[in-house]
Amino acid sequence: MSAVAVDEQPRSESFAARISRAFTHGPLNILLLAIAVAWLIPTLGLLFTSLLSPGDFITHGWWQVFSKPSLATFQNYSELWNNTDIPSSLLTTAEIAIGGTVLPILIAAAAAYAFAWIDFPGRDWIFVIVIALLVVPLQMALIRSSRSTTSSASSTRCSR
Amino acid sequence: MSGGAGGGSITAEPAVAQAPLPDAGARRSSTTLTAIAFLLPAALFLGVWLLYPTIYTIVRSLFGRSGFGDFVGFDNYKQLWTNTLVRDSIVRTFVWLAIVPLIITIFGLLFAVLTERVRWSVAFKTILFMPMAISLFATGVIWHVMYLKDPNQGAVNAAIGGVRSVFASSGPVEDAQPSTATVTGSKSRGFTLKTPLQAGQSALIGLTGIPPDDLPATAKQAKVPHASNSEITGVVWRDFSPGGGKPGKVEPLELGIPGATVELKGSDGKTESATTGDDGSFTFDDVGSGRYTASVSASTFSSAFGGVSWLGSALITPAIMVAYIWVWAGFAMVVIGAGLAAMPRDVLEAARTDGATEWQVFRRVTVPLLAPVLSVVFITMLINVLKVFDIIVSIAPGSTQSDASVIAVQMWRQSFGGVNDFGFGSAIAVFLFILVIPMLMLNVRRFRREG
Repeated sequence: MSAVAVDEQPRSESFAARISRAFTHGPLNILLLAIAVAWLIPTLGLLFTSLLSPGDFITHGWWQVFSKPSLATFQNYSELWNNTDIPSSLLTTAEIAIGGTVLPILIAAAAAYAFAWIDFPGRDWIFVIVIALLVVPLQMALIRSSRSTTSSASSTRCSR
Repeated sequence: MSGGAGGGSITAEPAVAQAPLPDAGARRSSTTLTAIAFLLPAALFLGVWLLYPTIYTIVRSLFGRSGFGDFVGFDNYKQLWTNTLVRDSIVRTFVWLAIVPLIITIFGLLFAVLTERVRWSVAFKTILFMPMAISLFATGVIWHVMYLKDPNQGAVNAAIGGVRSVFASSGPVEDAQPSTATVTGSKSRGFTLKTPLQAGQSALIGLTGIPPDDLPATAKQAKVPHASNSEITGVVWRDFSPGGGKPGKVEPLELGIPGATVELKGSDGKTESATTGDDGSFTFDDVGSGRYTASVSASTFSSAFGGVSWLGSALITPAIMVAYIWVWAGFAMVVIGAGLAAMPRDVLEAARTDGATEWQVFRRVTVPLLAPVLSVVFITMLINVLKVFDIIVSIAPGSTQSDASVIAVQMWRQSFGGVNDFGFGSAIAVFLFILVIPMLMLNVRRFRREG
């Protein structure tokens, strides 16, 4: 019995505190809630558009799924499942994600160790060059890189 | 690529240098060898994938489209200003730079400060950060659909149409023509009765050419109302009956046009307006002795909301900017929020104790203390905005892509997307690089200061 009473006491207090806080911060909460909802809409739109069949997409907005649930279909997802290009694309994504994470971390960790703990001539200068290279636009490397890999890339794609 | 390299920790004093050993020379060369071994992989990667292509691009920019046999000097750079498509893109990039990073930083700051005061800040931050998890290309697809012109497809136009229908309803009919020569005008200018009216007269404004089923269902048999000495009355009706009927005469089976807006303009320039009833009749009370012109205003024929063409040439750039801000505001908020969390609270408390208002605390304490973080966010966004590319390609439809294009898009277009002029493309890339250099220097300075 006493345990319940002890339990009840702080909860009712915090509840009252919560209400008073809700009132003092009411407008702020409403403002932030409106912002959050606005920020969510495009993503929700993507989700509900994915439930429309191509024919319904032309004549219906995704928000009409709410008033007319019969519009929703998982047809696009079953197509996704049966599409033969998707597995190879997923594999490529995995290759890039794993390779693009593991390799830079390994290489950068080694370089960071050298910069942090080894005193070698020109250390600061080399470091500055590395920092400078951080902002080189990808476009600068695009032309040479694309031309050196175009032939090999297209041949791999064909073989898949 | 070299993102993690260095980690900004050159602060740590190397242990080896502090030990003055007798064979320091030998030791020194051996540590240099170790350093080279540690740096070599990174150097190789940077060299092959960044440094060499960069130098290649710089050299390539001095040659024409057919290759290294065709030296053109700085002609490609001159083309930056003579090619209007590229010049417009450069100007547009500067517009982006002037607007977008600032808005993103301000949004990030406001959101970071405001979420500190609510209990569900984690949920708020998650929602705002979510767009960062979607690839920019997919973001472009989302917003392209949001911006579609048809209010039945584009969510933005559907919302505007919904709000608009609350305030301004569309007119009762879509199309019409005068039935006789006594009425002039068109549906875009409105229809005016040629003969002026005086008090006690009734106006007959007959219209035809109204599409079938276009009249509101409430329409009733047209009736010419009686006008007393101080009134001007009249009727706006569909001057067409199933048998044809006689133009200019109100006959049985001819329906009035309900909800039409009729304007009565006096010779003194004053205008009154009235709305027709279900039988198409209207009445103006207490008119003076002058002459009046009656007309059916164009708003009667205003069609339903057709949608703003967000993806059209005029609005495409602001529309893409909104989408871009939607993506990056969450990033700014999280970075600034981290800075805010690390801020000494006692300073804020001291300011509040001294009687500063919340606004003063924000303006005089929070913002100055956050300045380093704000500048990091701002510079990062400047660099990102300079390179903005995929979101433009994915939002803008082909027809307005040149109205939205920026430097990075043109660089791609000129070198890969059809034109295949690698010399000119290289020149655009080098120009982009030159624009980044000031930010590069800021970056280097910051790292050195921290070091």
